[in-house]
Amino acid sequence: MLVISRKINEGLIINDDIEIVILEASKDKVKIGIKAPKNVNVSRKEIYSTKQENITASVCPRKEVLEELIKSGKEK
Amino acid sequence: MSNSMKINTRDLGEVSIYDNDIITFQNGLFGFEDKSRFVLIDVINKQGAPLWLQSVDAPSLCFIVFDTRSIISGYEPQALQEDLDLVGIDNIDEAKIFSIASIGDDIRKTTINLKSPVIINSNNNMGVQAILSNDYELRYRLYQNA
Repeated sequence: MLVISRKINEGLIINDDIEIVILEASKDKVKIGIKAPKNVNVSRKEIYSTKQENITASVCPRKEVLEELIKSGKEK
Repeated sequence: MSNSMKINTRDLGEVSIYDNDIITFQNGLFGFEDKSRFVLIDVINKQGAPLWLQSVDAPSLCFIVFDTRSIISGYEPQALQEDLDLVGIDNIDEAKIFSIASIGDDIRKTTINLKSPVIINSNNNMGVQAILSNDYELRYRLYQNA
């Protein structure tokens, strides 16, 4: 991972059209501003990960797996 | 008096539900923000057994969930107040909490999402998926010894 130190109000440019600015920083929190074209998705990582996990979880299990799951639930 | 209706489900064929079984997720679930109405189908009805969180409007959208507190002892979720407000509770202890399971081809490798559980207020049937501030796993192995 590329690691860069920045001061408040200093920024970064990614790919000519994405700008990231450090707005505020405290002991355990930083506030970041992001300027990017509309087609660039920006998400908090935990939201992105939860979405991906939900998408994985929404896949229908195979019939045999479902039957096994129901059977094991009944045996609890 | 509540009206009964039949819905098609992904895994359980046609199921009869009542209007007042419908749980409303105002914000949907992450990645499925446009689906707000679900029912929780308890086919097995045993503690620690899976339940089916089925979309009322999209038969193909379904999640298998587990009552988190019944399988994880000491689970103490810390949700944001705004998430609790969405379902109308002051304290998370008043709510039911479910973890969404990811089940692959090998049931022993099933994982459950402890980091972002589904929180349901059964008094008003409102639900929300909350990302907790706890350092819980997104993919917790359900069968630790398997």
